[in-house]
Amino acid sequence: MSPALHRARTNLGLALATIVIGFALPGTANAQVTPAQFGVDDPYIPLGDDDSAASKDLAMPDGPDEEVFLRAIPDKTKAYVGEQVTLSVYLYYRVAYEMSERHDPHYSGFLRFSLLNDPGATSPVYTKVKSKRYGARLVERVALIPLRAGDLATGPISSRFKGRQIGARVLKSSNDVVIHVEEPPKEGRPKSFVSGDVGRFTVSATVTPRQTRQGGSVAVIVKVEGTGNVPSNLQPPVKPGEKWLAPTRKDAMTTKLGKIGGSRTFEYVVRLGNAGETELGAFELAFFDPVKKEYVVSRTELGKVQVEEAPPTDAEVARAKRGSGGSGMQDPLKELPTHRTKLAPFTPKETATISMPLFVLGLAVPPALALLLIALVRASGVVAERRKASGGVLRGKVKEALSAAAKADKANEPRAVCGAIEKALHAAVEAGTGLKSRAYRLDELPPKLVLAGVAQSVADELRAVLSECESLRYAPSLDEEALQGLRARAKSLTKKLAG
Amino acid sequence: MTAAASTRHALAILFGLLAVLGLARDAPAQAGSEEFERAVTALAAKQHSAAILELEALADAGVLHPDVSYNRGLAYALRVKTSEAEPGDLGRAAAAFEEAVRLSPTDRDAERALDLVRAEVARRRSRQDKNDVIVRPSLDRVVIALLSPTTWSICAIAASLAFAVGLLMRWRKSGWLHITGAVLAPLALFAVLVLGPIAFFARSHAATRKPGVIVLPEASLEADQGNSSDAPAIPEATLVELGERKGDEVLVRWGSYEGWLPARAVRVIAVR
Repeated sequence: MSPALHRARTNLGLALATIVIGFALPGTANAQVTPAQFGVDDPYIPLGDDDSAASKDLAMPDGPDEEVFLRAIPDKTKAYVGEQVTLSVYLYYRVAYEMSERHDPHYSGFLRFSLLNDPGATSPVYTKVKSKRYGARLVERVALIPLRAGDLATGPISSRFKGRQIGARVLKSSNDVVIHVEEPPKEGRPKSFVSGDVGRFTVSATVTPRQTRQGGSVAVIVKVEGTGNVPSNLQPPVKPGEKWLAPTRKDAMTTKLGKIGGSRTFEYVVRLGNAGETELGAFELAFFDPVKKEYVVSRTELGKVQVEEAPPTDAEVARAKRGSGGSGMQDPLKELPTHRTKLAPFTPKETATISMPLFVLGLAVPPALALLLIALVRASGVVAERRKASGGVLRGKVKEALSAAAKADKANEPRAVCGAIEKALHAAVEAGTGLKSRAYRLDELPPKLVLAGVAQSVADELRAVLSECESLRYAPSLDEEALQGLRARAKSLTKKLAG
Repeated sequence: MTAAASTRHALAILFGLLAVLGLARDAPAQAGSEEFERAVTALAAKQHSAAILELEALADAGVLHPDVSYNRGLAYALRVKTSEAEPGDLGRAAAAFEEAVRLSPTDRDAERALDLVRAEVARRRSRQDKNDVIVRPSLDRVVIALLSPTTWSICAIAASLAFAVGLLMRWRKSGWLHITGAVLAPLALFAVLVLGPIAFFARSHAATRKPGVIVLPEASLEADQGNSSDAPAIPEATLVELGERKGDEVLVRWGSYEGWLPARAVRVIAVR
C-alpha cells in the first residue's frame, strides 16, 4: 500500500472510529479541554526514507524505546513577557493504539489560545526515533502568552492508551517544557510602556461629533490592531476640564498562520467642561517588537473639538445671588487679603514630648510596683501564717510532752520524765523561735537563742535544764527533789519561750 | 562673693544663654529676610512667578514662618488669574495657606484665604459638572486628633498611676480607702486599656504620617499593584494624610480611602 493511500485510509478510519474532540475557547487561560478520543487500527509505517523537513524536525536520535509516546515541542525556549510561544504536542506511535482521557497541562503563568481545532484531522508524518520508524501525529498546538518573567513550565500533557502491544489504559505523559521568560530590555523603554504589550500594533481613532456644548459629550473610538498580545487597556489623554468615562471594549481576536492577533476597540465618552476650542490630545501605545527587538510608539492624534459656552444654569445663578450680594460666588479669589510686607516676630511653638522609653515606663511601672508591693506583703503574711500554724502544732507537742512527763513521774519513771522534759523544751524552742535546737550542742545553743530574740537569762536557764536532764537520765541514782524542780523549771521555761 | 551676688551672676548667665538661644531660633527668618523683601517687591509689581521663586527658595532653605507661607499662598492664588497660571496652582496656594495656619493658628487672614481658595476649586469643579464627594475622616483619625500625642501619653500614664493607687487602696481590708480603691482600680484599668493603645497609635501616627495637599486638578488613588482603587477622584486643594514613600509614589489616605499617588501630586505641609 502506498503512503498516500494509507494516509487516506487512516483518515477514513479516524472518521469512522470514535472521535470526541473538545474545543478550547480562545483567550481562556488554563481552560480544561474535553478529552479527545481516537486511534489507529492499522499503524502502517512506510519503510522508505521520508526526506521532508517535518520528518527531519521530528526525528529523535535519542528518543525513548516506547511503542507510543507524547512529545511537546515549543517553537522557542526564550521569550519576552507578552510574546507568543507556540507549543506543539506530537504523538509518536509504531503500533496500533487507541487514545482516550486526555488531560491538558495547567499552563500556569501563560495566557492560552488554542490553534488546533480538530486534533483528529491531522495527518501523520513518518520519522525515525533511534533508527526505528515511527508515525508522528500532531495532537495539540497552542499559542501561549507568558504573563510574568521567570522560568515558566507548561506542565505535561497526558493521555491513556490501549492496544494489543501496549496494554490497557496505559498512562503516557509528554515532557514538561520550560520557557525562560524575560521582561523586554530597559534600554529605550518608553515611560508609557506597559509590561506584556509585545507584538506589532497600530492605533487609530475617530472622534464624533466635533462640535458640542459646554458640559456635553463626544465619542472617541480607538482601535488597536495587529499581531501579538493586543493591549487590553489604554491610557486616555485626560486633561483638566475633561471627564473620560470608562470605555466599552470590543474584542475581535483571531489566529492567522499560527499567530495570535486581531483588534480591540475602546469606545470612550468624553465630557467636556471647558468652553472654546479644545485639543483632545493623542493616544499613544508603546509596545515592544520582538522581531526587531526594539520599542515602537504608535500614536494617533484625536484633533480638536469646538465646545460652545453654556449659559449658567439656574442653580448657579441662584447660588451666585445668594452668596454675599452675588459677587463672592462669582470669583472667590477677588476677596483675597493683601500680601504681607514684613516678617512679624515669630517664635515656633515648642511642644513638649515624652520619649518612647519614658512613656512605656510611665505606663508599666506604677501598676507593676503596686502589684509587687502587694505580692511582697501577701507573701510575708503567708509566711507568718505558716509559722503561726506550725507554732500551734509545736505548742501541742509541748503540752503533750509535759503531760507525758507528769504521767512518767506518777509512774515513777525518772528517765522517761527527763526525756519528756527535753522533748517539751525543744518543741517550745522551735515554736517560739523557729530554731531546731536538737541540731546544736548545748554550748552552742544559748548564743543561737539570743540571736533568735530569746533573753540571755532564759537561754542560760534552758541550757541548764537540758544539761541537768541529760545528766539525770544517765545518773546511776536519782535525786527526787531535783527531778521535781526540773519539771517546774521546764514548765516555766516553755511559757517564757512561748511569750 | 556674697550669696546675692552669686545669684545675680548666675541669672545673668542664664539670661545671656536664653538670649543666644532666642537669636539662634530666629536666625532662619533673619537669614531669609532679603529674599522675603524681594518677594514682597515682586508681589507688589504683580510678578507672581518671580515672587513664587523667591518664596519657594526660602521654603527649600528650611525657613518656616507663617508670613512666608502666607505670601507664597497668595502668590500662587493670584497667579491663577493670570496667563502664567499652571495646573495645580490652587492646590499649592491651599498648601501654603494650610502651612501658615498650622504655624500660626490665630492667623485669621490665612484661614480666610484658605477658604476662598477651596471655594474657587469648588466653583471650578461645579462648572465642569463634577460632583465632589464629602469624605469624612475615619473614627480612629477623629479620636487621635482630639488631643496631641503627648497629651494622650500623659493621660495614659495618669490612668496607670491611678490604677496603681487604686490597687493599693483596694488592698486595705475595709474602710473608705478600700471602697475608693475598689471603685478606682477597675475604672483606672479600663482607662489604661483604652488610653494606652490610643496613645501608642497617636504617637506612631505622628511619627509616620504627615499632612499634605493635592496639587493636581484631580488625583485618583491607585491600589497596590497599579490598579485603580474604588475611591472617588480627589479634588485639588484637598487636605490628605501622607504615609510611606516608595520610589516616585507616596501612600495617601483620604478619609477612609487609602492608596498610592505620584509624589508630584501632593505637597507636604511643613510642620514642626
